[in-house]
Amino acid sequence: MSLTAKLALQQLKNNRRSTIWSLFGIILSVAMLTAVGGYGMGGAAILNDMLTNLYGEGTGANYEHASHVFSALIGGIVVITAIIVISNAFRVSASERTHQFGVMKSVGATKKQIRSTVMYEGIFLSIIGLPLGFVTGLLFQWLAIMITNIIMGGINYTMGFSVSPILIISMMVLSFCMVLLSAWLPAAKAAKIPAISAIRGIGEVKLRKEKPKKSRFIGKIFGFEGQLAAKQLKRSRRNFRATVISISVCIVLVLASVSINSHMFAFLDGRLEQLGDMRYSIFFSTANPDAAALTVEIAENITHKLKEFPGAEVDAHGSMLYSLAPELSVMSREDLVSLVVLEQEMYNRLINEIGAAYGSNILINVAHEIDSEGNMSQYNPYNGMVGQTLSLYPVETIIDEGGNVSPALGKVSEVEITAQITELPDDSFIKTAYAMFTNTKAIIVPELNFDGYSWIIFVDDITGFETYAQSVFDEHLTLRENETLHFMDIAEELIITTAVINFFSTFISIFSIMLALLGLTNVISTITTNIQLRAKEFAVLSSVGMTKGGMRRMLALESLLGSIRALIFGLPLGIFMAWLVYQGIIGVFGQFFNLPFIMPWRASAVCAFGVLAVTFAIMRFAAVSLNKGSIIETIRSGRIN
Amino acid sequence: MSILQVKELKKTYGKGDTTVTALDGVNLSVNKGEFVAIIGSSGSGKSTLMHLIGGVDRPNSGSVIVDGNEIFKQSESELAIFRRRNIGIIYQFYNLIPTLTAEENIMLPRLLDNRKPDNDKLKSILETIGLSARAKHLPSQLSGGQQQRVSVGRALINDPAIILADEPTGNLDSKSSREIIELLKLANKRYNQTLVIITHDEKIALQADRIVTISDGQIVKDEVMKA
Repeated sequence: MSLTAKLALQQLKNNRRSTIWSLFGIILSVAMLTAVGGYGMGGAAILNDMLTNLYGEGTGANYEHASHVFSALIGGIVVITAIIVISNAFRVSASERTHQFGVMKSVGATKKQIRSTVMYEGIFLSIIGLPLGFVTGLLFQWLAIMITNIIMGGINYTMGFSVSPILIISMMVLSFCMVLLSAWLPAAKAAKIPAISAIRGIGEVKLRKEKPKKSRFIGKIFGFEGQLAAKQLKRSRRNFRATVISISVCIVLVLASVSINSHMFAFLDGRLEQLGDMRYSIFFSTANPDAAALTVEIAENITHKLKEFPGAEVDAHGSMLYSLAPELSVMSREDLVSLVVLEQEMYNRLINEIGAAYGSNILINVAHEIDSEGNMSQYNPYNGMVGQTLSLYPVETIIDEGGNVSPALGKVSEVEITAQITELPDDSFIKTAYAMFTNTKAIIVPELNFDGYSWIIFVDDITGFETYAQSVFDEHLTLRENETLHFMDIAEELIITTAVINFFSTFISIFSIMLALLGLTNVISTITTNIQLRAKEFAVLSSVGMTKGGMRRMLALESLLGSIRALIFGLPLGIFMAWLVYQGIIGVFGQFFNLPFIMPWRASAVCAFGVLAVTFAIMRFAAVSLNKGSIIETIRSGRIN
Repeated sequence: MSILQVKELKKTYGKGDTTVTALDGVNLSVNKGEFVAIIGSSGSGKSTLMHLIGGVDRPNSGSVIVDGNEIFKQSESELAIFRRRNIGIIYQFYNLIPTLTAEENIMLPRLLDNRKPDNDKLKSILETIGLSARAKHLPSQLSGGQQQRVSVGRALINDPAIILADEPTGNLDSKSSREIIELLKLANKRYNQTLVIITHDEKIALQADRIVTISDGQIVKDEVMKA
């Protein structure tokens, strides 16, 4: 074995405490990387399955792309966090030995030799740390999957535990590179310090030169120890930065996942309430609204036939989507307008009820809003539009020779709004239409060439009705080219949607917890690093008469001030992230009803308290190991800082 | 024959108003086998001179020639290799590697050179420094005097052209101090080792062949004590 390898091995053997920390850091990082990777892949596969079953092939593939981006992002966070954790561990080990490297240089060691001792440490630690970390990671993954399956309980999807050889090999390679890179950073730094500075012990801990102002306020409350703590924080901002960043990452993860869960569940509750007891829907669509197989007459015939099924209530309407914007590229959801045609009898009832003339174009000026407690209410989003004439461009479906479907805008037409509905009683006969068009503008018109026609059915015997409905359609309707008919069991769809949302939120929660734990190891490692690097300072302080109580006060205040800084940085960032998540969710579910941003107050408070408690605990824990060494030994340990 | 030549050596620290001139044009020549003591008050520049001769620091101008090699013309790696073969350094604070045993510390310059450990040489050095029984001890298990003897052993292992000692007794009691000086004198006599010692201690300085006095970065006195 070469001398450098031997030196590395001796260092690891003799300096047990820092070896154990480094090893712990490596094992935990590799474990998290493995667990997050495996769990993430398994979860993404199941979500993909669920969505494909629910909405057909296309969405699954779309989602898969998104999930790859998501995985890459998470993977990046994990790798960066892991590098910080491990390289912190090496930083302690290397800076403890700055002086030693200086001595080696003065007796003739080259830069390369210094670097290689640190690198060998990395290699030796990897030999033990990687396999242990990998096994621990599989254990974590298995645990996470068990928990997920227990929480998910009811549904037909269970996450399986699988380990692919490719995953093993790529994780091993990735982790090994990670450890080498982590070792390289402090190694290169240690090798660069000139021999003379290393011998004098000037090296790792760089302090800011300007004199920090004495804080009278802190001095009064916490005494001299408090002032020392404040100075330490101000002077070695760089050392605390890693802690602040890690804590912020944890906070952001927690708040983002809380935001995902609270908004998704709010939407689920709202949607369930909105759909009420609708059970079944049949949807006809055509690419040629002018020459559709389904005419208003045929549709009304079918509706009458469907109503003949015992216990069935049927609501029917045709619709066509229009755009207020003249080009697709500038169109947003606010520009969408649905024109809706009801059955003649329904339309007549409606104009009677609101006192409008036959031929009126009636705006549905009602939408749902749900507050953060989940209470749904109605409001009027489109006041002042009666009397306006809208120029509308139909959103048509273009099918090219290859059968690819794409939207395009057709010829403009003018629609004057002549009446409106401003409130809907719970038993309204147009409730279904309203549930369908809630968060886009919808105008009920007397006549329309529709490209879609929906029947919404309230019925108990779904299976019986399904067979009956099939026969009715077989008898009355022959589909032409580019026309489809879709039968959907709403009740079942809701069960699956609920399951998907449940799964997704469990997945996100567990995932965030795992990532936050990884961030926490980083906090532990940076704080411990800091304390260890200052062992001598503490020894000197206690040799000149600082009591243990005073030391504890100093550390308590340091952790308090450090945490507050992390919170000032992390909480707004976390809330912003929660808001971004909310925007994303609105983008998908906002078509049904409005949901205000649910401010994660409680989660923020828990985060704030947790951060204070955790940093305090870590500081205290790290300081305990210091108190064990004798003062004189620490001072005389040879390091002259 | 001159084994060490120092020519017009200048070294300043800091910039602008706070510039400190540590060495201001020092010239010195030391012959093989000579025992030279460098004395001077603290801040006079004697430690700086020592670090420059040892090649652990670089001057602003001037040159240091050890055994015919101009050391600051070498790259950093070349200098490191030169140092391990030709210069033995002894510090006030021993500066041993805490994780290596006494004999490993002594062998360090040789091991860094990837050379085979020379057991006979090691044995004779351990005997000379009187630590044969403690060869496998770690530095923390040795007293200050013993640690310093280990660092003397480390300086001797490669038969360097020159041994530099920076206040080698500054941290020791009088008995240990005497032992270390005797040891260095023994090496000087037995192996004809060139020895440059920096010291405050007049008693030690008086045992040297030659005393060089430094003040404010310049050599102010250079007297030969013995013929």
